[in-house]
Amino acid sequence: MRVDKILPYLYIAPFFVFFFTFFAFPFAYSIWLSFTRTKIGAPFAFVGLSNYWRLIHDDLFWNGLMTCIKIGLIQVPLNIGLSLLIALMLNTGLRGSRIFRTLIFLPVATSLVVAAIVWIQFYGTRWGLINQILRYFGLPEIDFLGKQIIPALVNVMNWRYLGWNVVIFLAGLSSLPTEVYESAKIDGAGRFRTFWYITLPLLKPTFAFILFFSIIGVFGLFAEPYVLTSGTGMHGQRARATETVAMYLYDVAFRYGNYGYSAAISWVLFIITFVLSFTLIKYVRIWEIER
Amino acid sequence: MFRESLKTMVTKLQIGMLATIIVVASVISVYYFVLPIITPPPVAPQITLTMWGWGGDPLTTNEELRDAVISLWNKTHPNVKIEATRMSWGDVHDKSMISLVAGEGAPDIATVEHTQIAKYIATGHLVDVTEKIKPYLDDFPKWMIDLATGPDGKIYGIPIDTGECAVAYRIDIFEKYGLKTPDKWESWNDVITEGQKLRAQNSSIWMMKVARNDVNWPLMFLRAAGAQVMERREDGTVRCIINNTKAVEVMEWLDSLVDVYDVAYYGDILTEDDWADLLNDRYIVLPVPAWLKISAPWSPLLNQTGKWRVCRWPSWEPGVPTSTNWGGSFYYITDQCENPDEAIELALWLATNATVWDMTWKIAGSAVFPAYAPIQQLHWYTDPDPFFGNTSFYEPIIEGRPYVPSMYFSEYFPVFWERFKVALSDIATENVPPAEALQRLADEVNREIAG
Repeated sequence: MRVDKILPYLYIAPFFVFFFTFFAFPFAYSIWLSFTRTKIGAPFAFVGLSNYWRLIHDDLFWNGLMTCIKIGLIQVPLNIGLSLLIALMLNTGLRGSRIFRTLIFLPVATSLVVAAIVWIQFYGTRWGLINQILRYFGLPEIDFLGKQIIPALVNVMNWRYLGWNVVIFLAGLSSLPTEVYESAKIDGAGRFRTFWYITLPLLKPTFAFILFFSIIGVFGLFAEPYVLTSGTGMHGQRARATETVAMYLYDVAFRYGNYGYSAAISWVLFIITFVLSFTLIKYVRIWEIER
Repeated sequence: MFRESLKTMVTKLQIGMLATIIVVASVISVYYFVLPIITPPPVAPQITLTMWGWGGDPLTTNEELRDAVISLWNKTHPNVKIEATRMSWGDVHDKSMISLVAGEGAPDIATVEHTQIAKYIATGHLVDVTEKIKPYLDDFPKWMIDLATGPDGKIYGIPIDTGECAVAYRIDIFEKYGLKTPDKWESWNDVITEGQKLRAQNSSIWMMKVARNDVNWPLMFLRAAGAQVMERREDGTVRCIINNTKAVEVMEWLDSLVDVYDVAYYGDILTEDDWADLLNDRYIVLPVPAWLKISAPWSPLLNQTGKWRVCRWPSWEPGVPTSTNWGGSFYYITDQCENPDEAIELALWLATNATVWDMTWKIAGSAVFPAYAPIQQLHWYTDPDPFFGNTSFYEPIIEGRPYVPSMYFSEYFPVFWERFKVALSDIATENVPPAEALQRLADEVNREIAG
């Protein structure tokens, strides 16, 4: 009887051991850390809210945050628009759509470092593939890795995440009720009206899902600008325009060894992301009640 | 009857005693005289030394070299096993720093660049190597030893390599356009006069490329001019002083090569694009640190053999010889090492043993430039090189070594380095005036130091 009572807890114990060791404890510890001066070369001290106070006045933090917002405002709508368009085309069941679906998903599974190396070859200021083509047609060279770094970065991000969003949209499209389309057809609705008044509204939860992950992704943006602009080794150009808040956080923690301040940055970043995501979820709920 | 039995007893007792003495004597003789002959000498306990590096040392360059070097080491140290792990540069830094601070998980030995060692010394978790390195001190550059010396005056690093610089140039193009070659320049200002002559004759060739993707590149010029970027004050605090007059002068001069005199252009160096620029004669003067031997088997420029020459770093002030440095690294021993004596011995052996360096050249095809001066006498560093018109690539580098000015980096150099990348991009890409960019850089770094 007693064993029967203990056994279920033993079965679920492994999860809780991992959960507390690798999630709950670091989560709680990082809160404590953010109120301390934990910095290599400086004595440890409890500093109250001074890390948060510094953060409010830290130009680099705000620059990082604004960079994320700027990149997000360009990249997210572009990616959603393109992926919806491709998903709609693939959903018509055209020949070869399965192969195309696989091909478009491939970048998601590609190592980002390898992809960045290839993209850097494309973007090379003078001898990169794109500039060689431009020069062949007598067009001026584009400084992709310098002045035009934001469009170059957005392009890499779109290339990488397009397939992911296409798959989500395809899942959303396949779950739409066919009866609504049949009645629209009987009522004489054209393709555009059907899309505008039926498909788009019904896809709202899918949009919300994609937006939710895009917001998290944009504020956590690190790998793409890091490998494209900062280099994976000792060299690398780093433009202020592509310095995201996650890159700054990484520098503060792992380059500067200022763990207390980096914990404060990560908590503020978490709160911003949480508030935005929460607002989005709330918006979806309102929409569901209206329906 | 009693007597007879007593006699027998005595005899038996005597025999027994005699037998006991013989047995005891035999045991003692076997223990003291025979056993040492037939038993092998006692084996010292097995020691394992772990090492992390990113490929700039013989143990993490490649597996063949690692095995050969370990086998050579084990000939004289059969009881010391070596486990070397190659990681990416970023991983070596991140993992070693975290494990040092955490107090567990660090290797016994790791490598670190000369600019970053102060950060590791500041953790207080490196082993003092002062006594063991003393016999070698005269043969290491003093500025390298200074960098490995902590505020307490103790030495915490064993220099592996340095990156003293020279200037490589395209002799064929200099001759074609009748230009004065860098070996005859009075100072770096000649790059402007000669560059303008070149551009007047051929507008598709520039004298130089000014790097915008590597802060080590402007640091070469800052150092050669004697400018400092960080300073430790008397009260022990560290400040970034990159906004000083000398540094601003150097950065403005570099910027003027592009924006005022049009003899150079901003671009990325050590990239595929850069090699293509050199292969297509887009620029003709290349500052080269010792590790960047453009005639090495990996070089994309080998089809330009004979067209290059190399010379000493030109003066910044006319008549004042100078040189500079880009690169260099140390071995350090962590305080988690259970056998620090053996670890120091291994690190010193790797840094100073001629056979190890010879092996590196033979197996890996190239090697970094040794910090330990006697190794520079190996024929690999003195042989004439057909790529440079049968002159030695390393000769001007070795000649320039005594003229490398000291540069102080401090434990906050990683902060300076990351922010300098952005400042460089501000100057090169966003056209921010150098004085303004350097002021902003100093403010950003000092804010992090204060925080």
